Amino acid sequence: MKTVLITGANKGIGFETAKQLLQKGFYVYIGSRNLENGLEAVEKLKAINLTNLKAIQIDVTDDNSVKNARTEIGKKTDVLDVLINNAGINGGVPNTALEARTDQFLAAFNTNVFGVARVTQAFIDLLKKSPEPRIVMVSSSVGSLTLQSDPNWLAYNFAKYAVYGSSKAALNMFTIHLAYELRDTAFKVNAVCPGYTKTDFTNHNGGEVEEAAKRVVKYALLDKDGVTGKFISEETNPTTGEIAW
Amino acid sequence: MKTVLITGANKGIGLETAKQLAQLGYFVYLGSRDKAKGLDAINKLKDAGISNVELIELDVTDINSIKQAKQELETKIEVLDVLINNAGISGEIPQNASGIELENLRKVFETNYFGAIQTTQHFIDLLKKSDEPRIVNVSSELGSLINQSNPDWAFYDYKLTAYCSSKTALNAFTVMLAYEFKDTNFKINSVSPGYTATDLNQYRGTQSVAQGASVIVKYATLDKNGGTGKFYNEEGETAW
Repeated sequence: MKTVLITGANKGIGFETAKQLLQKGFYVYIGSRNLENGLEAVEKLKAINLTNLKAIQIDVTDDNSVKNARTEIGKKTDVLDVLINNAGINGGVPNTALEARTDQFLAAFNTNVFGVARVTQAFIDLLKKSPEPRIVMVSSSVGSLTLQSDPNWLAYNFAKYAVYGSSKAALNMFTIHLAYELRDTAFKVNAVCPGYTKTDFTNHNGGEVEEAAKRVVKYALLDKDGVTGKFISEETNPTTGEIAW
Repeated sequence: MKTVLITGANKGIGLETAKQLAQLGYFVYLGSRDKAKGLDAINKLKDAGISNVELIELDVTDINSIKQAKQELETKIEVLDVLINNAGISGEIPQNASGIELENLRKVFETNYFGAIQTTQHFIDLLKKSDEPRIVNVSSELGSLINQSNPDWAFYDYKLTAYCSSKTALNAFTVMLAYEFKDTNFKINSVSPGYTATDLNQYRGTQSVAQGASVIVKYATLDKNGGTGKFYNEEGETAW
């Protein structure tokens, strides 16, 4: 049975991604900053007969929490097949380059960039034991510098989230570097934008969460011919999914 | 006389940029984290016959230092025409994605990214009083996502995760800030001086500081038809 760890899986796109991967036969570690929320999510999934799962307390900004999560998962499995770095924050308001406070920038980067590095580093040894390891960085087209500089982009005037966007741009660079480092291995490492989706992240505006999770799942399940080191947004480019950095 | 503040200007490309702008007739506020090193730099410039230059003690990672520097500058001038966010560090080695120490990663961002943001936010009032305000964020092509994903690029194997991703984030800040000022006289750009021999790369860079600084000077002195929200190198616009 293949295994996956999803951070921030107690709600939103993370939760739906967990559900879909359970339905595909994965054993799912439901990462949640708050264990109670994680346990609640597990109960919800068990109620629909999805039982191969366990809640794991993991605060991606906290060294000890990530270490403990690694130890706990290490007791259950020798191999992790998929890591989905889904936990993320939007940085709050104000969200302009001029007005956002330094502590907002710091918080967003702590979770969205440094947190991803921390979790990835902690679990890379377990992933290396998989014959087909996959890492999905949940990113956003808002982090595309090319799109953000293109006045013809649909979201040009309303997606200028300075804190969130720049954290995702930095995450994209981390993704490129990790994929480069693992280029001669079986790893597939990609940055995937789930699209603008109805979650509490967006005050419940946007597309369906099922559709968003499907986009993440697709890159968690890439076969050996799948891409690596790419930036994918099927919302922006429904043909190949690949979009400009 | 136009005024410019350059952070991290006590040495390397920053110091050379100070010299070139002073020679073009700007009054240069030379930002330096370390007062003694800053004064050394000022003396070097004075020895070279440059007198329109003054030290501002400024540590971009320290909000109180930024506030003090701003107060000090306000006692001297009412208008700042150019801000050059030049202060930057390259971080410790190793910097591969799966091995970099998180403390190292965070530290590089503190100077190269959060530092540039804090500095910009605090000096923006003075810049707004200029008829032709210019902000140059000193970036690097190593921070280009497009180059970094191109196996044919000459520096493809230069995967310094902290340094590169901090410059990517800085480029994003450039794009966002330039958008917010798009209907004003501001010109806000990221500029890569090129691979320049400085202590940041143990002097392995292939061009002189004079060449590197001249690229920054060009975008610090853009006229009203100049670009904004772009990423430039010595050849012109370059890939994000």
